[in-house]
Amino acid sequence: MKVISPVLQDRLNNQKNVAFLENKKETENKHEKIYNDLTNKANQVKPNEPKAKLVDENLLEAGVSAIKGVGSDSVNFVKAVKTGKMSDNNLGRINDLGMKAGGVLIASYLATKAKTKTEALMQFIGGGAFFASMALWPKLFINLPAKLVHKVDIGKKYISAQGDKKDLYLDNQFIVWDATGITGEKEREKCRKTALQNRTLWMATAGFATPLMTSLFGNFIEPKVRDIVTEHDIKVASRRINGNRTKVDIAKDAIKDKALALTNKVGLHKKELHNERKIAKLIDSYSSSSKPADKQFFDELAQLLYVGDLSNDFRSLDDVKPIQAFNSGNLADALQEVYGRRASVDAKDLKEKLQGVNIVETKPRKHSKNLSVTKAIPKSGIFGSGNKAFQKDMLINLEAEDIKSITDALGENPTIEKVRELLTTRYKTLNNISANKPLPQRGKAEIERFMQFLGEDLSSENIKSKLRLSSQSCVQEDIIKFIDSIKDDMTLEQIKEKLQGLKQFSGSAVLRDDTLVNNFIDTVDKNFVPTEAFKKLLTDAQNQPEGGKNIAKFVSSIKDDMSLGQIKERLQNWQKTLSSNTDTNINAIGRCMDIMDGKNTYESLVDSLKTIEKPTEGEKHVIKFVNAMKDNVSLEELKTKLKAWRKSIEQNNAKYQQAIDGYIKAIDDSCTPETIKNTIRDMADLKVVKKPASEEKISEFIKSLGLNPSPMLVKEKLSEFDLSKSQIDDLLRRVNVNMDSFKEYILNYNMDFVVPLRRNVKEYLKTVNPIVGSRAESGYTRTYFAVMDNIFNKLGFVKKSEKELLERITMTTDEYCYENLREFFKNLVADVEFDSKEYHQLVEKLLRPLEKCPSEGLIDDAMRASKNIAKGLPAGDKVLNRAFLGSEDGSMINVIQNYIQAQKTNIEAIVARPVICANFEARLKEGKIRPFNKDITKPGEEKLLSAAKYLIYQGNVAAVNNKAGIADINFVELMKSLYDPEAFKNEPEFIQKHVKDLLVQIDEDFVKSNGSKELKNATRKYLRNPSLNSLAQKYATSLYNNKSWLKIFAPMAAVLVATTLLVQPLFGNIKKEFPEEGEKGGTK
Amino acid sequence: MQQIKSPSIENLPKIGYYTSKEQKKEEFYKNESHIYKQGPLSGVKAGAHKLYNDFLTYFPKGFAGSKNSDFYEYLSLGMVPYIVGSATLIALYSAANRKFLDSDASCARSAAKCFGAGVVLYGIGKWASQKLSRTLIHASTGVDLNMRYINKKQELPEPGQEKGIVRVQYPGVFDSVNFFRKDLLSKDSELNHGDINAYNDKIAKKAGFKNKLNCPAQTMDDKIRELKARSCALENVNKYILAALGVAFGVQKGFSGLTFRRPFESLKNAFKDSAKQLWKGNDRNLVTKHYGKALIFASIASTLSSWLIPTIAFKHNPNKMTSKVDTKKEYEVA
Repeated sequence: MKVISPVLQDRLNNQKNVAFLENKKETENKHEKIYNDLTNKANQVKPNEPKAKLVDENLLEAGVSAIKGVGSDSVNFVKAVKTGKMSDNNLGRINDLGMKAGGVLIASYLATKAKTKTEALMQFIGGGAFFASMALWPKLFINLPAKLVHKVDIGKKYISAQGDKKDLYLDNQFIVWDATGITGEKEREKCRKTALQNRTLWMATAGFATPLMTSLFGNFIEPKVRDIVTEHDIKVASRRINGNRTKVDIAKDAIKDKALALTNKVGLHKKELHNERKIAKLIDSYSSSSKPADKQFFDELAQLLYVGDLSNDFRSLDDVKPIQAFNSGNLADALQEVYGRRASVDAKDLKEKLQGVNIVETKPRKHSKNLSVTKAIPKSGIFGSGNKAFQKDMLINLEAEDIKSITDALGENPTIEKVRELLTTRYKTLNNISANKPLPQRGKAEIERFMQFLGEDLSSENIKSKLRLSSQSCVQEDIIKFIDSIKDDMTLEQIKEKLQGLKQFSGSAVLRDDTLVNNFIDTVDKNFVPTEAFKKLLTDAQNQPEGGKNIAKFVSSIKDDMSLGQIKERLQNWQKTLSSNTDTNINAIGRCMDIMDGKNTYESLVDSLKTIEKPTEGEKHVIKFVNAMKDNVSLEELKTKLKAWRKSIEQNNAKYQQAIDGYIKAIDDSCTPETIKNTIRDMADLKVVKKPASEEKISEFIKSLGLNPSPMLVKEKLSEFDLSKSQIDDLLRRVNVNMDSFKEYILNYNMDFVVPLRRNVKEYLKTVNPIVGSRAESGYTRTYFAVMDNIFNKLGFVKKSEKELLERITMTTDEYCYENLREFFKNLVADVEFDSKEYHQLVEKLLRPLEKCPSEGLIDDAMRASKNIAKGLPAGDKVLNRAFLGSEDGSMINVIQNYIQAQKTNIEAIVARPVICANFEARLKEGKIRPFNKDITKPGEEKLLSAAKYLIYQGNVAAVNNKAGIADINFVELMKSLYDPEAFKNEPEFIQKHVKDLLVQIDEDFVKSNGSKELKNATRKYLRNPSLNSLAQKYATSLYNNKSWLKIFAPMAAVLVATTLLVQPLFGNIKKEFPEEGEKGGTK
Repeated sequence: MQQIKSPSIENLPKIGYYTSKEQKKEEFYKNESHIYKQGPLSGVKAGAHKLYNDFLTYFPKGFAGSKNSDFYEYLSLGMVPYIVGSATLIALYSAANRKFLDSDASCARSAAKCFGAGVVLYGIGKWASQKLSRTLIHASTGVDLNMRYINKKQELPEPGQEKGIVRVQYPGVFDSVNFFRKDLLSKDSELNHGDINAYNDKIAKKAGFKNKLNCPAQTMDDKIRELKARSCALENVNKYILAALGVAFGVQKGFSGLTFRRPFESLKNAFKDSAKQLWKGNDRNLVTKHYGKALIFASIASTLSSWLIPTIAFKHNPNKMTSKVDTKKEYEVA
């Protein structure tokens, strides 16, 4: 209501006096003017428009604005430092910026201290999770329930008049209500109250909630991160193993290698591929852009690829097939096919080659048309590997006329196929000649020749094969039939009968003549020996090496009727033949070496060897050898091989000579031909032929050793005699070896004597430890010993343990087992922290080649030996066998073997240890490792398990320091519990499930690492602080005790969440401030 | 309508013409907010007062939703999550260890010790950085940014109460940049030093004004604001660098040797060993080798910068004085 003076009111009501009012303007005084202005505008005065505005964002926009806020904060930071002018709100925001920067610093520092990649990644993930949970906890568990229950948005933000973005309810006593549009006092009070209460709740719970949320999230996500990291590592490792090569790289190399090899084989074009660079470019373009090799690629490659001048020969896509085959590695064959079809041959080269070709003579040379070419040109072409069935006795060279006719017929630059066609049509193979055609007669000479051709090998196979090759194909089929009908059981008379039956064959002009058959039979008879010996010859001669053949032959020639004098004669003759053979062979090799001396290529070498007219057997052997090596081996290697061959022949023959000498001297009246035969046969087994020994000699030998011989002396003396393995065993069993020397011997073990000596050790220990002896039948100790044997035999780095072990030879079974395990793990575990220098020194020490280390590698031998042990176990222990030794992947022994393999680099021991730990722990969890009492709740078993765990985690530190009460435990029981067969069922799956990542890491990355450079890189890659204990610490806490950790903290988190949610409905009660009307009456 | 009574009416100081200065001061100090004498432990006292009241008054007030919860109480409530969070973090690493088996427990315990040391040293680093830079600034500029005053707040009566309580708070004088309590400063200088401009004169002298200024408040207000803004910005970043250094220091292996049997000895050894390890680093690569050193140098550099930059800006260089009159601008003369 307006408040005006009654005078004025009167005047307004009476409109007559408007003019009076208007006139009165001039006389209006100042005060009245002000008064009038105010009253006129009384209802129009309003407060200023609010400049503050609410902010309406969804989650995404909030995130984006948060990121923008970081930028603006940093800009404000610079402004504040530069100018010194900044608002309070923005100064406070710089604190958040600093917190983030500090978080990044902390996370990065902890990542540098992390021991594995996953750990390093988790630092950052954990840091991010920390900040995220700081923001999310109020949003999810306080603001959201408040909104749902009270319909108040507590996290509402607004932009102030100064341009700052602030929380609306940040200050309880300063809330910008006019910006919100909330007008009623009740509503305002309710909003304010709920906001205050919830913010207080946030302050109360944030301290508990944020770390809990981050740790639970980290717990959840760590295994997944680990999987990703191991997969990445595997890829990197596989790339490293393959030399960073993709398929295209491999193809490129393959093409280059095969193509070049072809050029060298052919001998036509010795230059590089003409388009090698273009091919490389093409392949690089495909590999760099990671395009797959498609049809375009192959077409382009086909155009570019040629061997020599084959560029025009790849006319169609069919020719590209060999290129398409490069992935499968059959490029050489495929190219060869195409080459054969399309490549042209230089006529001059052909001439030379034809001059070198040998053909079989079927008729006198005058009738050159009937020359038959048998296998002169092998199926694989002129440039293929030579046919081993080349028999140069029967072959002659082509005459110049023939060569000329061939070359005229072929013309210039004929293709290989054309050449082959012509030669094969002109010179028919024997296979095409049928038996019905009349053939020239064969005479005695032919049969003799054939027998010579047969050689000493009278096996049916040899006869068959040689018949096929011979020119007497007219009877080939018949004779083949005949040979097939001969069986090993037949006696000589039966064979003779069969031979006479040959006469009945039709078309066999050869055998119509009885004399021929008889001659054949006679020759056969001469070479045949009594049935048993014949059988033995047939079987032995096939299997034995060179010397063996001779021996067998000689053995067969000895007959029971012979006198010793005759045997002696035979021996001497044999000796002569051997020496003559050696002469021929050695001299042949020498001659060939002389010939080879000036030559640089195989062809010139082969040619030079061909110049030898009428080569002797030795030279034939050499030529054969050279032809065989030609395609596979370089010249220098060939020469070295020949030299070695020569040496070996010398040595072997010298040995045989010695042997025979010895034998001749040793033949006493007591010897019978049988004994002689046996001993000669035994000689074939031994590589080193020494003096023969009888029982007396052995006893003499033993006497000569003395009471306490040193093993070296034993070894020396043994080397003077020739004994079979069984004899050596007996000998060693009889010899009483001194303990010290015995020890020494074990430590400098000689592989020849390991087995009997190991047996001696065991027996010795049995005598000392009767318990061991009585328990020797138990499967566990047997397998245990087997493993130890494996280690003793193959893994030299356990020498120390043996030493110390043998020093304590008077211990009980338990101690013995305990000590072995202790040493086993001790030597493979780094249980002492040391600097990186020490570490590298230690590792290099381990990598140094051990004395008498097997050449293939410790681990391969260990694996093989362990597998052999499985065969040696008795049948009743199959279960244990399987359990302990297990399948290929993942059994305990395999894990231990991997561990041993990992010992190559000490890192692996540290990385592999978790595998064993994980394996063990996982099995523990699933209740698979139990002592035989099968009752987990017994008090003693916890101790047992803790001791086992201690042993596996800490190595032997605990055992040495007698922690966890290990000395009180029955150690055998402990070992039984660890190697329970039931625990190892489905072992591979188990391993796949639980420790796959670690095993894969080990297998992929460390199998190939040798040398210290890679070692260093590997340490940098996988370990930060190489200490097994620290790693075990991390693994112990994170991998194996997740559940117990979760048991404590997950309920805590649940309780916290429950309380925050349950408290929510209690908030927002405004009954005290605004009691309902009628309850207590009006205001005071 | 409610009759509003000013509190100071009842509690008017009994000041007359003949009352002595000290008496005047006493009477004034009874009921009004004023700056009290600062000592080395005044910050600790204020913090302890805050913590104590957090649990007794501020949390109950907050949960009750009273009108009298103000921003000071909210900020002091913000101390609680830091402490509780640190304790929770340490507990996360150690509470479950008793459930582990022996070997794992020992390993976990040593790891927990390192982590606990890291958490504790984080807080120490944060506190130490602020303390250090502010003392240096106080020494060089005369402005004690930690200065506190007693705030006597008359609260409104809660529903059901007749009269509101007078609460005591210990906020900082320079908490706000734009609205720092220069009124209290002038009052304090009037009461304690006789001259209303005593404080401003003092810092003006330190700033490099040789002659006494006619209106020191005019110049020094801006200078104080700038000082506070710069130091605040730099501190907010510096304290986290030092906190990171503290974490790095605490996470070293040396702290895993802490025992409760011989706390001081083990602490001493732990500090020594960890310092060496932090400096030495790890041979794995360049970063690991030098990160500790980098952190140390960075923290030293940032502390120095957080002292030097505000101080240098605070100092008055008469040669570089610029006029606030813009000669290029045209003025309209009415």
